[in-house]
Amino acid sequence: MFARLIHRGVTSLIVLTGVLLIGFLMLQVIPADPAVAIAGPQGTQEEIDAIRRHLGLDQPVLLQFVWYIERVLSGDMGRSVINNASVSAELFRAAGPTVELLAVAMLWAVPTALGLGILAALRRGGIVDRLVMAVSVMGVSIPVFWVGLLMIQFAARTRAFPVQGRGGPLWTLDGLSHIILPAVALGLILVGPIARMTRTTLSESLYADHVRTARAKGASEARVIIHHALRTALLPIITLIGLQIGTLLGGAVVTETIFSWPGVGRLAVGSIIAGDYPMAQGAIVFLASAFILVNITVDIFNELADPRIGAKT
Amino acid sequence: MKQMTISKQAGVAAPLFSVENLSVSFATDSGPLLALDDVNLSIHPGETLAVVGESGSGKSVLSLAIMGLLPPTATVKAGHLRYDGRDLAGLDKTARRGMRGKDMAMIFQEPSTALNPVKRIGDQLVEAILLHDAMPKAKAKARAVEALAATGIPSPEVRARAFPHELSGGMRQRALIAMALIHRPRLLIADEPTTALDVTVQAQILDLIRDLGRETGTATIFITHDMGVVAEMADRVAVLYAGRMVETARASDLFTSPEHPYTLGLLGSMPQLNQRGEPMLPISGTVPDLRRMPSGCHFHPRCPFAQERCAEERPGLRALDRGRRSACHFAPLLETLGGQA
Repeated sequence: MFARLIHRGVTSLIVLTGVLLIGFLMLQVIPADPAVAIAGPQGTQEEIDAIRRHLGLDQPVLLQFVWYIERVLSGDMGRSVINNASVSAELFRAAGPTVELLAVAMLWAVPTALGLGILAALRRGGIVDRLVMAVSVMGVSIPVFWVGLLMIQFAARTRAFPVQGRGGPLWTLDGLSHIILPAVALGLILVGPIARMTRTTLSESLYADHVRTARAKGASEARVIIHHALRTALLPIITLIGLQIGTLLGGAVVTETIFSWPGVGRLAVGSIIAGDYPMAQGAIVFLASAFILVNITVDIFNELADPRIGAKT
Repeated sequence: MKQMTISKQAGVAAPLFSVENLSVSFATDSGPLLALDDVNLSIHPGETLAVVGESGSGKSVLSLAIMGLLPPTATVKAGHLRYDGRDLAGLDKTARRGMRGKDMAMIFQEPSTALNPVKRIGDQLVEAILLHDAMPKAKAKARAVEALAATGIPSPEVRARAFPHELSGGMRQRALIAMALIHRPRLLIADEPTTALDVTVQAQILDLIRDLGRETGTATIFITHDMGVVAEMADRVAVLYAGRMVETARASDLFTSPEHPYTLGLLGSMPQLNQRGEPMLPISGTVPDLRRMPSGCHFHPRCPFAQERCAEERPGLRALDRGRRSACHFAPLLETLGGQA
């Protein structure tokens, strides 16, 4: 298992380098010029050229990339060209709210999806099943920004929830009321796919041979479902949840922007719009590393849940 | 008093378990499908009854119906199951569940899939123990290892910690047998327990089931399509064809003088029983589609002795001498058809 983890770590490093390169190059071809942005509307051509030299923007692209990697490795992700703030510090400040948002979204969405999927699998073909599937297809097809906008409409009219920003730590009433709308909007992305996957795998495994064996032992139906059918059905579900977290990160970018949630996603969008190179690069690298980290975690979970995985290699 | 015990031994005693007029149908997209049609059988303590038939004859449905494990698409249309004089139809689900694994247990066909792939063998046995006996977990663990050892698994403590994929097929089947027999059930159903195994392992597993069954006085319903296994294991045989029972007899009688053309065919397709040099006689045709069953005797399109009457009139199961019963118009075959053969 440890050998596999090291292997995963090495491949992840390669992927991460690729991410750095793509993020770097993408921002190279974007027409926005950071030197112009720093110089401001009154900046003269001489000032702009001086800034370019100062930032190293007049050097070859490849050299700029090598410098960038060097800096990232030493923990320095540069400074914002807009407000001269440290990118690392900004990311560190934004990471908390993003993790918070993702966690709350998953905290309600995963159990809900599992519950709906189990219900649908147990009453397959019934009204509950069809309802659950209809809702989950809806959840898959409706884009998160649309749901977010509808929620803002609703909240603005009823004044039931605050629609903008973060209200403070989760354990305060203000913090809780602020996170509800974005977390619900974001979590909706997860419910559909996970509910469908749960329904499919569980309704298969409910009639698997080993589940029949459990029934033949005299296990109660609840025990059969939870300890045997769901236990084996869980493996593809865990994998799916891991993959969905990637989607969730993407959704977080949109959700944070809509609800002005002070997270990494909004930071990325904001800095791209403002032409803030170092900040955008930092945010992209951060999101990509988060995705890679999540994938490794999912692998570990899968390995713990299924003893056969370790044995195959 | 003494006479009573003698008469009991002579077979007058009540059977441990009986199936009476059992009919089971499945709901399918193209309408209901009668998988079992008016099946009767009974088994006495310590006896081994083989239920024989081709695939699709309803053998597995019969075993699941006995265990109360039919899938929700199946309905028991008629009939009773009687265990130790009690009608199982009168029991609620909880009581029925309480019997499973304790009074009646089952060994399945595919040892590779019948064990939970993500739980350790020992834990699966411990679960089986604790479901019916409250005891400390450590004690249950010790008992699980003991049960594994009793099935001849080498170094049972190590195997108990193994996952199913770490064991061979024969070893898994031993573990499943240990699990099925852990509460010393009075009725054991073995549904083709050796079909998925290598020939050499087959013999070992058959010996194991027979020895452990004898030790615990378990009555065994042995479901198989292999007449060689029947010859080795069975006291009595019931032959199923397309959901109906066509013949039942003591094993020795069945092999010397089968009383249904289908049984004759089954024996003819068994290589060991043929004389050297004589061609094997496979049964022509295939098992009929249960949705488009032939009229009259279900076997008549494949029967070498079929006459007009067979296509029109459904033969009932008739009692012959020595406790044999056959569902053929021409039973006893030798007397009726002796001239033709």
